[in-house]
Amino acid sequence: MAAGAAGEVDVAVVEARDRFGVTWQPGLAAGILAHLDRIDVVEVIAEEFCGASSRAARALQTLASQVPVLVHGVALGPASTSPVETKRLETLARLVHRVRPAFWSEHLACVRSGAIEIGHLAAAPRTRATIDATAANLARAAEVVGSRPLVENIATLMEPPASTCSEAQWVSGVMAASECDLLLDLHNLHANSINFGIDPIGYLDTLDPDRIGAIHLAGGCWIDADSEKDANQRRYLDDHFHDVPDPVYSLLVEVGARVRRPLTVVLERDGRFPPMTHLLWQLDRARAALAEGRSRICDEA
Amino acid sequence: MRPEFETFLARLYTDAALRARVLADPRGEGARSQLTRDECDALERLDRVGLELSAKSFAHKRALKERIVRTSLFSVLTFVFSFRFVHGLIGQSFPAGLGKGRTQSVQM
Repeated sequence: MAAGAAGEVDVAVVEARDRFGVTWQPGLAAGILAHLDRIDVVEVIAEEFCGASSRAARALQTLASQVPVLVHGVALGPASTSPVETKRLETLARLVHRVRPAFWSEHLACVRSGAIEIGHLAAAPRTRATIDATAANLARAAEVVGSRPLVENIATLMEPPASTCSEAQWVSGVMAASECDLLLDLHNLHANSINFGIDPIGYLDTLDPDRIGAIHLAGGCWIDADSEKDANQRRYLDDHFHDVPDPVYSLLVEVGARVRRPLTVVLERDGRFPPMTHLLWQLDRARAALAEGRSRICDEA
Repeated sequence: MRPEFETFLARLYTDAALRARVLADPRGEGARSQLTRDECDALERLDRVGLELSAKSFAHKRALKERIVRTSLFSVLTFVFSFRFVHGLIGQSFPAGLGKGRTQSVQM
C-alpha cells in the first residue's frame, strides 16, 4: 500500500498501479496481441490449459512472457462439503508453476457433489457449515498450488435453499475464515441485486475494502421462464456475451472510492465478440470509472 | 449443511424427474429422500422459477462442455495457430516499456 508523508494513501501511486485487462479468447487473440499497449493483463481460464498439449502450454508461456497473465479457475468447486479433488489441484499447481501468474483465482461455487457434475457454478447454501467447508477447501488448494487464490462471488439465478445468512455475510465469512482476498465480480453483484433485490451499495459496505484485490466486469441479458404457470417471470443472466451495463461502471466508481490498494480489473467477454476497439473503449470506461472513485478518496483526504 | 443435502441439491439441479416431483410435493419428496425437517422446509420455500432457469442453464453448460471435449484438439490447435500467426505478424518481441509495467507482476 502506497502511503504519503502523513501516512495517508497516495492515490496517484495506487492509481498508477491499477491494471486493466481482458480474458483470453482465441477469437480475440489478434486484437489482444495487437493492443498490448492498452492491455495490462490477460486472464486465462485454467481448465482450458490444464492437460493441454505441450505446444499450447509453450504458447501460453510465451504469452506470459509478453504480458502479466492471471489464471482463473472455473471447475474446482471449493464451496462444497466434499474435499476438492487432489488430482485437479495438482494439475492446477503445475499450470501455475509453469505460467507464474500474477495471481490465480477461483469461484465460490459448488460444481459437483458425490458423483454428480452440476455442469457449472452453483451457489452453495449460505450457512456457517459451508463457510467452514469452503475455507478448508481453499486452505487445501493453497497448500497444493503454493499460493492462496483470490475468490470470486458468483451470479445465481436462484437463492440457494436452506441459507441462513445473506450473500454478503457469507462471502465475508469465507474471506475471514480462509484469508483469501476477493475477486469482486461487479456484474455478478449487479445480476444478483436485480434478481433478489439486494442493495449493491450495502453489499459493498459489508465487505472489507482492504481485502478486495481484483474486479471482474461483464454483461448479461434477461431470460424468461418457460412454463405457462410462471409466465411473465424472468431473471437476469450473467452471460458474458453482452456489453458491460452502466450500473456496473457506477459500482466500479463506488469500489474505487472504497479500496485504497491497486486493483486488477478484467473485462470478461466469452462470445458475440464486438470489434476490439469496442472492447478497448469499455476498458477505457473502466479506467475512468475507477479513477473517478479514486478521486473521491482525494476529496475526502 | 449435511453432505447428503448437498448431493440432493446437485441431483435437483440435474435430474428433471426429481425436480418435477419436488415441485409437485416438496415435503413428500424430501421425506422420501430422508431429508431432515429443516431441509424439507427449505424445499417448500424453493424459488421454482429460479430453479427451472438454473437447471436449464446448467444443462446448457453441460452440453457445451461435451462439445468442447469433442473439439478440444481443434481448440488447442486454434490457440497455437492464432498466437503464432499474430505473433509472427507483429514481431517476435515487443519494445520494452510499451505497456504500463508489462513485465512486472501485478501488485496486490
